[in-house]
Amino acid sequence: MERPLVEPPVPDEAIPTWNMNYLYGCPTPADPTIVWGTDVDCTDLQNYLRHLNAESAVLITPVHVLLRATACAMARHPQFNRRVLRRRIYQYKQVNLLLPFRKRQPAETDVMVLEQVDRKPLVEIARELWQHHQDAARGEFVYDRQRSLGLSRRMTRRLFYRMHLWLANGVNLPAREHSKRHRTAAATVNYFGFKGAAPLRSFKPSRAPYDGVPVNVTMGGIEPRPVALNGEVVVRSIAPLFVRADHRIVDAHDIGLFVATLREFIGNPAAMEFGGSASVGGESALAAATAREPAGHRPR
Amino acid sequence: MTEPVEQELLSFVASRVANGQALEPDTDLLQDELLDSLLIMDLVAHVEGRYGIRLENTDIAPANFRSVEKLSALISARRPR
Repeated sequence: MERPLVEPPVPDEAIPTWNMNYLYGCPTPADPTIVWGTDVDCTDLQNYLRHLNAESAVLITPVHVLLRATACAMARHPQFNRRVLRRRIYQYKQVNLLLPFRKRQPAETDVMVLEQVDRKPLVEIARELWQHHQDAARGEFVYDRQRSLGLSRRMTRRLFYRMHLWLANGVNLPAREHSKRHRTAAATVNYFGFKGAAPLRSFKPSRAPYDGVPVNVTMGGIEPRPVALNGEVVVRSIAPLFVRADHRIVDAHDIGLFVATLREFIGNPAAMEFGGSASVGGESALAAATAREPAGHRPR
Repeated sequence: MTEPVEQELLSFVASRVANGQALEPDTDLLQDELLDSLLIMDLVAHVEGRYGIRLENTDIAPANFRSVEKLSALISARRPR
């Protein structure tokens, strides 16, 4: 049987320095990350929000719908609400989500935990988010930076982080308030529709050093784009959508279906709230957005 | 004539949205999709810092953020006289 490779291997002298850095510095390139990108037609989402905000007592934005759509999609595809712990796969008890957000003082990104999002109506999600944002703006938000800066010596800080990561990645401990972000949510949700951001065409969500958040859902800004609809080229409001998942937990077939569900929920939030009915607006939309047990979270 | 609060808010919002020079006090910011979460929080921080009032969670409502005019009315109602 013929060997497929030429012996001897390429000598180090023939390898550029920068490649050598990677060759000797990186572990074997087994990467269980899968990213699936698509576009979502958000024209109905925008109409839905207009109807909703005409009646609602709380301001509802695409971020709130994205959070709820992600949670409902995870409830429908429960295999996405899992994590790897010591080479074994565990199911989370509830659908919790992480939402990174930008703070002004200090100007940096922080992460909030939202619990049981599939069980909460849109209005409640919106209220909770605004409260978190206001707390953060007033400096009332507890975040890791305070904790890590409290450890004055660099060595102590490094040891603290290593121990924290080791625990988060290997031990099924109960999650306390400060460790909820590493231990209680399977997915991070990003919305990059802020003013001034470049149109998003491709995105690879980073993977956090802790293993507890294997899924990432990222939506870019909604922009008018030409699309083919019923044989005609028309302008619709389109947003890019990217989902990162872990191949140790799900495969590309699962991700394709998960993204399809997510796309359906974001593209037609009324259907998400009413469990499949056509688009609705005004009072009926508000009733759905405030309902305690909306239809969308029910697994099929 | 535009009120001073309204004028100041109009400049603030106009400097942060696309095509801001076309903004009017009664422009529907929600209908025209000019507001995003970051801008809303910027507005809240700006209003609290500049006018010395505290906006509650329940104040972040479409009725108050629909236009510069509406937000200005909220500020006027809350400011100590």
